[in-house]
Amino acid sequence: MDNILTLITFSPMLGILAILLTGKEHKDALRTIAAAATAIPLVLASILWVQFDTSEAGYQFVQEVSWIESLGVQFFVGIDGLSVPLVWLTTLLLFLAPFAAWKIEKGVKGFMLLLLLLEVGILGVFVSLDLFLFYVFWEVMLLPMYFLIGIWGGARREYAAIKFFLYTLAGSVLMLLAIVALYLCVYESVAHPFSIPLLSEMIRDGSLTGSNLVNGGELFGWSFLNWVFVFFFIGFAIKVPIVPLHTWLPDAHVEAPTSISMVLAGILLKLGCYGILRINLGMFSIVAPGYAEIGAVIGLVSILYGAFCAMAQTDFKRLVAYSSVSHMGYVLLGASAFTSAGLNGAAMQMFTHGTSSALLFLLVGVAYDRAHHREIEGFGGLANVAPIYTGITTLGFFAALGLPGMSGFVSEVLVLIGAWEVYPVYTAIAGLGIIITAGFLLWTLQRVFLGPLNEKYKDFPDVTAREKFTLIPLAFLCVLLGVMPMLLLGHMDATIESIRALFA
Amino acid sequence: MTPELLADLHAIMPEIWLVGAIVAAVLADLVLGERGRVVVTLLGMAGCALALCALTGDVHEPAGRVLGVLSIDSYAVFFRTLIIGGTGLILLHTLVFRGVEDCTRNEMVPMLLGTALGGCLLASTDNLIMLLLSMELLSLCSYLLAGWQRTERRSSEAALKYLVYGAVASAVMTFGFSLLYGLSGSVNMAEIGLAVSDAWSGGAGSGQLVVILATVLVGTGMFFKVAAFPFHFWAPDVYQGAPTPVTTFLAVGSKAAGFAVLVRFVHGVYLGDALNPAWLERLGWMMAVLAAVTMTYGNITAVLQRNVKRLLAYSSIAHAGYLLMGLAVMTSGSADEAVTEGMDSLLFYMASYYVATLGAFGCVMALANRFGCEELDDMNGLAWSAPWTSTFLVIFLVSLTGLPPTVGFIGKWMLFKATLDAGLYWLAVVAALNAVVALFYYFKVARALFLRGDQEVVEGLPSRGIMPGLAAASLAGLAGVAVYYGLMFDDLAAWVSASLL
Repeated sequence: MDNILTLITFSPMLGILAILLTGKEHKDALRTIAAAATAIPLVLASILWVQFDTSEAGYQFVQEVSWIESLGVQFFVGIDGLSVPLVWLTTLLLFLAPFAAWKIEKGVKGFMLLLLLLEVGILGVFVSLDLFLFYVFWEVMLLPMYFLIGIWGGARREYAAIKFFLYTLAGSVLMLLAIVALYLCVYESVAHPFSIPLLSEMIRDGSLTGSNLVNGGELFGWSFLNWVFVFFFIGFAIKVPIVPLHTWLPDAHVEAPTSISMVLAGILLKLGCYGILRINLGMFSIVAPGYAEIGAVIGLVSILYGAFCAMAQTDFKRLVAYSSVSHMGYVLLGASAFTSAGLNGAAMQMFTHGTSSALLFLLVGVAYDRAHHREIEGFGGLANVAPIYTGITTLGFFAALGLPGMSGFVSEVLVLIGAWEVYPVYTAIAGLGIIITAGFLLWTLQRVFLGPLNEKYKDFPDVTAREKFTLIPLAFLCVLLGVMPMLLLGHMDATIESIRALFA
Repeated sequence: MTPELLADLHAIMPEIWLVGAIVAAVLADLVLGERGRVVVTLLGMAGCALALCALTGDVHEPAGRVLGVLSIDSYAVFFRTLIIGGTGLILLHTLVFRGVEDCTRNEMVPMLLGTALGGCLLASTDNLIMLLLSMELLSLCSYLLAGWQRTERRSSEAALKYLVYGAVASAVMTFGFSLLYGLSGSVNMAEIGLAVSDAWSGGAGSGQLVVILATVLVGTGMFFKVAAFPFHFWAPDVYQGAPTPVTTFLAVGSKAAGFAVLVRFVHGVYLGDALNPAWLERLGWMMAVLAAVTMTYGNITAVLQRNVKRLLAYSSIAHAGYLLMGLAVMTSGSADEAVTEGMDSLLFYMASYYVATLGAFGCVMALANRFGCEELDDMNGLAWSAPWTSTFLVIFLVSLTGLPPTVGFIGKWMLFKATLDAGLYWLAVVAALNAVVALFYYFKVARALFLRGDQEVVEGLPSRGIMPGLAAASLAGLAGVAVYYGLMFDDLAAWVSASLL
């Protein structure tokens, strides 16, 4: 079991090899290989989920191998309650992605290859406990994403792809500087200067302050740790994304093919949130409280701005994309509260949004495949001809707007309860976000599915078996976690408590 | 022969092999003529291979001095390895390059070997006369090579432009040398260093003026060679006009030799034992500003380019800026640590830049050979016809941008580390943000290849014989090197650290 994380992370590589050896004309074979290759990490991650010790707050399944000796870089992986749900979610969504992309005919070989490479990158970020390794995976993930959006995307794919790449890189170069600076502080005194647990420990006990750097690491009167904290935060915040750094998101999500939109919304946004919780909160716990209120305000602005923007959209997919901005705001609001409920809510929101937004993007893809447009006003009365599709969409919408009994309700309520203790005013305003979200989702439901049937779509076929295969697991999770949230919270609780204890 | 002379000859064995290859190539050309182009090229490559063997065979420690003018130390070995290795690969690509007429192709081989010889000597010398001679050897061959496509207007224009600018830069540099000679009565860098230090501490009289003037004049000549702002104006036109193999040499070999001598000069003259903090502070500040301006100018201007060779020319200006960061660190303070760290990062970055640029130009040549394209718009959708070459090109461009898992990332890492350690925080931030700009234009190439066009397979020109295959294999090898050293760079870092002055 010691190397299960390594196996999970690199098992998609088997698929890459197999795909390279398969001719590009065997499209079905290529799709099957991709599906099989993504099934392996899903199975392994499920084993991991079961084997995970829920009472342990620290890292589990740790593996440490020396990698680059001259810098003290290790292949250092491990998971805790924060990362284990995200690892599992990643393997699930990446397993569904080849099925969602089954209809793609152009360059199947390249698509599946990049998809598998993307999976390696994402999983690597979630399991890395070495900052150097973390950064390498973080960047490795960008390249396949650029090509996946850029080659297989919609009309404005070139623009969307490079915008996504540039925004993320702009943040990550600052993150790189922060990592280099941390390295310079400690490389003379410790053997493994990139170890996240070690650096966290050193920052907490005050032995890492940047005092051995030129000028004590101070610049423009700001202390070293503040700079490093902010550089990390910008890197992650672009990925979350927060308003006003979010403008890459609607473009990337809308132009990407369905399967990739699903991965983008379902997992890539969580990378930013995960980074904030793991690095900004976990590592810089002595600096973070100074920025808590700013974080809460940013979260609040994202919630409201995202929701209002979503309401104004006429494009179905753009609407879902903006609703993601809004939902990610809750994560930031919850995380900024430093309360047990807030942090639990934030961590849970990452997972629940991962399932519900992926579900919504799949549903939009279903409509687009049939109608070849995504104008909300262009549909109408689909409930009459596609009852199953309507049912699942309704369920997805309810999960997204936080109807009691659905997963989104639990996480959002936890966030609001947690934040209420600290920021009652902001929380009250954030509550408005839920109403606006409910407003635009129900309004969309009405325009697309209810009312008189649009004659153009009287032959609108209902969801096929392949589509059901991708939709039902996600829909099931939305309900399951609404009814039994402890399934997820139980795994996260010990770790979240340990993070909260940092701020007690 | 005396044992000393034998040892001297042993130390310059690589150069002797290069000269031997030049002679052999000229003779083979005379005997075989146009038909013997494979033989002539192979002779040239064999010369490079033997020279490389001679280099790796014995590293002279401590520094062996040859004829009193060459300093054959591990630093020289490092740069000579890069230059000779690069030239060998460029010879291979020259053979399959379609842009030059067959009747003149053979003569390119001794010319390219001549530039390599000049570069090797330049990297080894610490004597101003020898420096001038070897730089002229390098330059004269380059001027001729730049105009090799006789029928192309652009090529002739490139040669003339390069010649005129180059001659002026050389003259200016020589004038600077004469001032330094007047100051010190010596042509040896270390001795000049002592005199410069004395002159500076003499107070704000004429001594300081001479030092400043000489520094500016010498700097002009050397900055011209490495295409750093504000002496970069020749680069885009020459890079675009010259035949691509020659452009490749200018971008890698010529730049490596230029930086080799620039760093040796700065190290010998300004950072010697008698270094003067007040003077150093000004120099360091100037280097840092020039580094920032060069990289920003190169990157921003590169964004506007539509021709891939021109784009890479501006990118090479930008990389000169990155390399200058290392020099800025070296001159940032009086600490020995800063000198070592700055030089270390500069050399590592040079190695990473070298591999990626060599590979990128190789891919551009491979694409041009098959599809006759040099404009970005003509490259649209070619990835569907040439997936491997395009993938390699993307790998090299990713490395030039400085993203993992490629050696370019480690190069950037080393530079950032040195810069932050030296306290040049603002420079590190400028350099980091520059990487974002760089990504934008490098990926214009990737965008053309992969994202645009009708994405269908088009038949290019057929390639004959085994040599194009070998050239393609060399690209695969370089891509492998770029990725391997991005993940496992301990060996490379150790080699670089052992190669410092």
